[in-house]
Formats: sequence, C-alpha cells, structure tokens
Amino acid sequence: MKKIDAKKLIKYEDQYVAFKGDKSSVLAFGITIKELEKKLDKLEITNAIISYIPPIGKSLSPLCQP
Amino acid sequence: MPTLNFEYLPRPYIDNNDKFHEIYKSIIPIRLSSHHRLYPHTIECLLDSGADFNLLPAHIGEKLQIKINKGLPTTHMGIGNVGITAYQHKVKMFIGTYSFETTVDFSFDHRIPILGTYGFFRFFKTIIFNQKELQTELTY
Repeated sequence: MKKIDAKKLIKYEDQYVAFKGDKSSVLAFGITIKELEKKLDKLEITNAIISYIPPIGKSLSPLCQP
Repeated sequence: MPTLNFEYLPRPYIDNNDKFHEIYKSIIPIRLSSHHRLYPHTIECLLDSGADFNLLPAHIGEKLQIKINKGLPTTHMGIGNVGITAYQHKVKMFIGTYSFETTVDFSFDHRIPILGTYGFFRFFKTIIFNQKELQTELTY
C-alpha cells in the first residue's frame, strides 16, 4: 500500500490531518480536531483517518497519571 | 488467538543540525462510541506503555455528545512535572473486529491521542513491538 512520505507531513506539524483509507494523501487538516471536523463535514467525508502530527523539532514524551 | 497487526507509522523529526529523520511509532487506529453514538472517523492513537490511561482531546468526546466536565476529574502528570486536567468517561473502543468497554480521559489541554496500559493494554493477551518488522502485534 502506498503511504504518504513523512517529509510531506512536515508542513502539518502540531496539526491534525485526515487521510483517506489508503493513507496516500491528506484530505484536510486543522490546528484543532474541531477545525478539521468542520472541513470534513463540509466535504461530506466520513470514515477518514484522523492523525496528529507532532511538532517537528521536539521530542515526544507523553504523560502518565500519578 | 486472534491477532491484529499494525505497521508502525513514520513521523518527521528534524534535529538541531536540521537533519531530517523518520521516527517510527506504534500507532493504532481505533473507533469510539458512547451511548450508541459512533465517532464518525478513525482516530490514530499512540500506543504508550508509559501512560496508565487513555487520553484524548476533549473535542472527540464533545462530538460524541459526552458532557466532558461531568466526568470524573483526573490529573495527568509526567514529563517536566506538568499536570493537566482530564475527565474520565466510559466508552466502547473498536480495533478492527475487536471491541471492549473501557474509559477515556478527555482533556481540553491535550492534543495527541494516547492509549495507556490500564485503559487499553490490559484488554490484550500480548502486545509485541516488533522492531525488526516495524509493526505492532496485538493478540486477544
């Protein structure tokens, strides 16, 4: 399955993107999920794959509950 | 035992020398429902063995018409001793053909969807991070 090149995701850093099923291209993007959903609703798209692209120049170390 | 396999997904990273890297992450696609409402899209979540609970941006819960602030308030802390507030709610989670009832902590202060040990890992018999094949193997 052809997948989107990670280099092409750089411009979406710290944003949410929506892929179509084969992950070959970005359908829409938004700074928040709400913004992304509005775009998808306008395009009448359901069943997109929503993904968060972390900031590019920072390391990711998620949280845990005490 | 039924097995689900998910390829690691590359995420871009640029180091201090402006050199580009691909960091491969264990990311699992899930669907969510609450009170018979299904979130309309698949959500890619980071599988995080360092996290105890599932943690998702609050708007996903709002889209499911969950009253976020009515959930059990919890505090998530970790790197840098920074704490954020989240609200715990019961949900049904779908991964491929497998589903189970669990909880998600929804936060207005958090962006990256995370699956944690108590909220996700414990519903599986084995979880293998296959670094050679760059895929996650889940058996249930």
